[in-house]
Amino acid sequence: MKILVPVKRVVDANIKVRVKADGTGVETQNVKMSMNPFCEIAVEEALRLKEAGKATEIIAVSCGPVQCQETIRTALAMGADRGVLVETDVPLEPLAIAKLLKAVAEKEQPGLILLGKQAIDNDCNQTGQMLSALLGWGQATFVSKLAVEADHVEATREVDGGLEVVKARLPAVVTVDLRLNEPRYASLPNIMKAKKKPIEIFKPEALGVDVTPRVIVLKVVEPAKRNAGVKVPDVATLVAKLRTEAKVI
Amino acid sequence: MALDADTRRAMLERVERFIREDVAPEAAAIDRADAFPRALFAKAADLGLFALGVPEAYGGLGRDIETPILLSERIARASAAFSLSFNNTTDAAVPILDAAQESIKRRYLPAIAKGAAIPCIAISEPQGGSDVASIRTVAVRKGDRYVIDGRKMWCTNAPVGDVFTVFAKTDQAGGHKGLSAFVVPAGTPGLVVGPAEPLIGLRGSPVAEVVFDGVEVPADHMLGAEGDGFRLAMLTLDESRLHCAATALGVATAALDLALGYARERVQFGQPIIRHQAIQSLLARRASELAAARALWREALARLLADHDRPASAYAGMAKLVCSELCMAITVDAVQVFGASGLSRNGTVERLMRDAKAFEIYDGTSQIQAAMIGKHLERHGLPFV
Ligand SMILES: Cc1cc2nc3c(=O)[nH]c(=O)nc-3n(C[C@H](O)[C@H](O)[C@H](O)COP(=O)(O)OP(=O)(O)OC[C@H]3O[C@@H](n4cnc5c(N)ncnc54)[C@H](O)[C@@H]3O)c2cc1C
Repeated sequence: MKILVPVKRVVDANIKVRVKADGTGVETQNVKMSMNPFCEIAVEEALRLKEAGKATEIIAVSCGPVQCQETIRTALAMGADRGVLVETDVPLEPLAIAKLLKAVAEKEQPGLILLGKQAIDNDCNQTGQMLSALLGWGQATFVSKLAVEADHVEATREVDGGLEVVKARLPAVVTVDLRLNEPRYASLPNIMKAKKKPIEIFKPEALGVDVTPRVIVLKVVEPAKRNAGVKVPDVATLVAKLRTEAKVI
Repeated sequence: MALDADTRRAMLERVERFIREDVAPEAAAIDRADAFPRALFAKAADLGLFALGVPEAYGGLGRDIETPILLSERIARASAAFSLSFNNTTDAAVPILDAAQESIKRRYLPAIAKGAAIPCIAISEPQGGSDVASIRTVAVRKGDRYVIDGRKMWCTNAPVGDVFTVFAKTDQAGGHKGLSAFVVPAGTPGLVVGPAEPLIGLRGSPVAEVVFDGVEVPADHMLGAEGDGFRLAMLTLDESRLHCAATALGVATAALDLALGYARERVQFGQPIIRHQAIQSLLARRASELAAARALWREALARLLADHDRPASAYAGMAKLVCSELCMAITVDAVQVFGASGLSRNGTVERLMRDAKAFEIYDGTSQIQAAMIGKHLERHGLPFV
């Protein structure tokens, strides 16, 4: 079974993002970019499945500008076998990405598509669900435990009330949550080896997908600044302030 | 295989993460315990850090001088002691790489590249520190073996060392031309490592005395020929001085960054202390000097990589001299900027100040660097193009 793992290039989680001066988005020029942490978890899970003999090949796919190759290389350094880049400079919305991934899935015929449940840049949490609908495959989202059997997956999902266990027939789309695993780091020798692994590049047109944005961003602004708090000497003062200043009690 | 820019960047980013997530959180504890961080070293080994300096034929990633030097600076921003643990391992492989017989390279280099064997260099002695030519350890040929007798001091990583490269006289009358180098594995009868010396700085990077009492090694454990020792020591020194400069720059950068952060936050007389001219000027000057020192270090590195010639050696010495002395000055200033909290053992800058002093001493003291640079100037003029 092949596993397809879509990986997204996002602003590194340790960077403090800044809004662009013209308010059209956040600054990504000269900012450190990394693989979306949820995608790392998806890659890790795919690697573990391969190590357990449940998968034969892992293909990392990314959609976006040419620099996304670096993100694919990270997946290759972790242990994925080869990469696919759908290259475009058009800003991609979840639906466009889902359509591109559908086209790649039709080419590659994976038994399982493992994605992060969301990307830390726009927190959309849509791509996996849309992809499953477009493909007509079953889906399991927010998965914190995954068992892959011959013809189905059994997935434990984190939901508000607790844990829910669902079965989905293969092929399936699974989106992963934080607690599924702890992703490995690529070692330096593996970073070196990743250089030699192949990355295939397609344009959206070649896949027959129209990626024109459907949503217009009007304005991106910084969150309102919070004023520094005050220290109070004792509980009595706190209660008094809550009553008279904050007027919450 | 030479590293392309993208792969090197990917590696540096990967190591940055290791530094942030694994080294930095341990740094204070390493200093406090003054114990070699075995677990962290093992993690670094798994990551492949020690494979960087070793050719692929011996299980490494290719002989890469630049990446380890760049990494020394990065690691030192978090922990100078761990940076030295790392770069001493890289440096100590140099004489083996350069001059060991093929069978010896095959025996030791793959283990060094894996981080499974820690190499050390034993040159300094109780009577011979700066004056390397005056060392008293002797190696006497006995059939197809050499017998080594003497005492070495301040040997980095000796308490955890697996392979010692020891410098000894094979010709006692020959001055520095009488020096030869030998590889001696730990556990060889007669080789005794003393307890780690308690130092005020670089705690956790253990240094110790090593006694050679009738230690016998096969003659094939000699590096190069008799009399090659001094050349090998100097060759190793050029690289290790740039590691030392890198480590000093890392510590200086960390100290200045902490001082700057504090100066922007700490309010006295109604404004952040960075607005008080004395502090502002101090930080501005130190930042400028640090920028200059970084540029010098980079040029020294570029020269070493381009053409390991005499001016390159002079540059290595200048970089070591300038970076180590600036590091000392900046860490002292950083403590000053922090006031009393700068002296607190619960803070960080006091550790940086204690660590800094060693850079002016090991790999040749500042006085010795100046003497070597001075000699170069006298004989060859300024090393500038
Ligand atoms: C942290 C640390 C790690 C070390 N690791 C190693 C190691 O792995 N292997 C190893 O072999 N050694 C190691 N050393 C030893 C180091 O190389 C020596 O300490 C150094 O070479 C100086 O020798 P010394 O301490 O004997 O000082 P000395 O040579 O006795 O010098 C004492 C003072 O006299 C000055 N001086 C000496 N000669 C002259 C001169 N001609 N002109 C002007 N001034 C002079 C020196 O600058 C110094 O200020 C380490 C030292 C330290 C602190």
